[in-house]
Amino acid sequence: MKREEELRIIERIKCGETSLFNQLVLVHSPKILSIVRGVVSNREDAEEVAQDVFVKAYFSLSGFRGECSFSTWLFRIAYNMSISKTRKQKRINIPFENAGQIPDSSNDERELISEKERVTKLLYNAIGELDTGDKFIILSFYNHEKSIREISEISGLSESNIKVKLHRIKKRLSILIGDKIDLCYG
Amino acid sequence: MDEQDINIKNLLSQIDDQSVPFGFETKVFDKIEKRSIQLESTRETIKNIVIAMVTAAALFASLFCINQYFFKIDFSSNINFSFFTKALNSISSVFKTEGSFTWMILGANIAILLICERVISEKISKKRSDKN
Repeated sequence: MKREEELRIIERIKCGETSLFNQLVLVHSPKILSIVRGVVSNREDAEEVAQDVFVKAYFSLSGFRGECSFSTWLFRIAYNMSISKTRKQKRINIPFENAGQIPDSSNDERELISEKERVTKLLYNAIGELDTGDKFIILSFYNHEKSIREISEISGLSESNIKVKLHRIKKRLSILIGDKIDLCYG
Repeated sequence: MDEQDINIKNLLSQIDDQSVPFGFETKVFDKIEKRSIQLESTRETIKNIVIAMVTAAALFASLFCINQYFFKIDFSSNINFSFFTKALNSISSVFKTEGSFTWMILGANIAILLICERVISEKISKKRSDKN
């Protein structure tokens, strides 16, 4: 959906055509669910948070002025809600079964796939060790291709702070799994 | 993005789950509807409280004005403070008796139980409504 079209829909919702909000939910729910699943450990909790993100967005839509994209605005709500949700949980562990499925392959590739699987698990655990805000930052940057500026808008942190955080997270991940990444993708 | 970034991106893409569960939109709209009803009832309650307060204020103001212009009753001289002190003393004497302490403990326990019952039933009904 193009930005202009999205803004037009939002204006119409603000004018009372509330059923159009369904279109926004359909377009943005996969990304919101994906990011929240990555941050909130429990799958059911993540879906609950994602639903609440859209409910909050619906009731705060009058406050959306279009200064940033609607997706970034939704991500900001998701960021705040995920942080408040995980604050209640004592220890955060992302279950490995949340990971995407690796397709079946021939016998020759099996060894490489099992190594990939192991590295993915390692990466997952490494990300699980990060705090909620950092998890959100790294997943927004790599999985959702958000720019530093957009992440800064989402988190409310300065761009330089985001750069430092990303650098630190990357460094930490490289220490944990750096050589193994090269094994799989190098 | 350098090579390492691309590698991390490739790995992270494997754990990216963008699947939407069945009925997600319906659940969102159900929640919106519930919240709308809740907001509406809150607005209604606030409106009723404001109306009640304004009416009470208007009533007292009108009574004050009627008294000021027609009856001219001085209430300050009519209040018998010694009567209130006597009444308070007699009430406090009830609590100073031997059995009163036991009754107070019993009363406090009942009050605590009632509060617990209210809190638990509120939580249960909230859980039920969330599940629905």
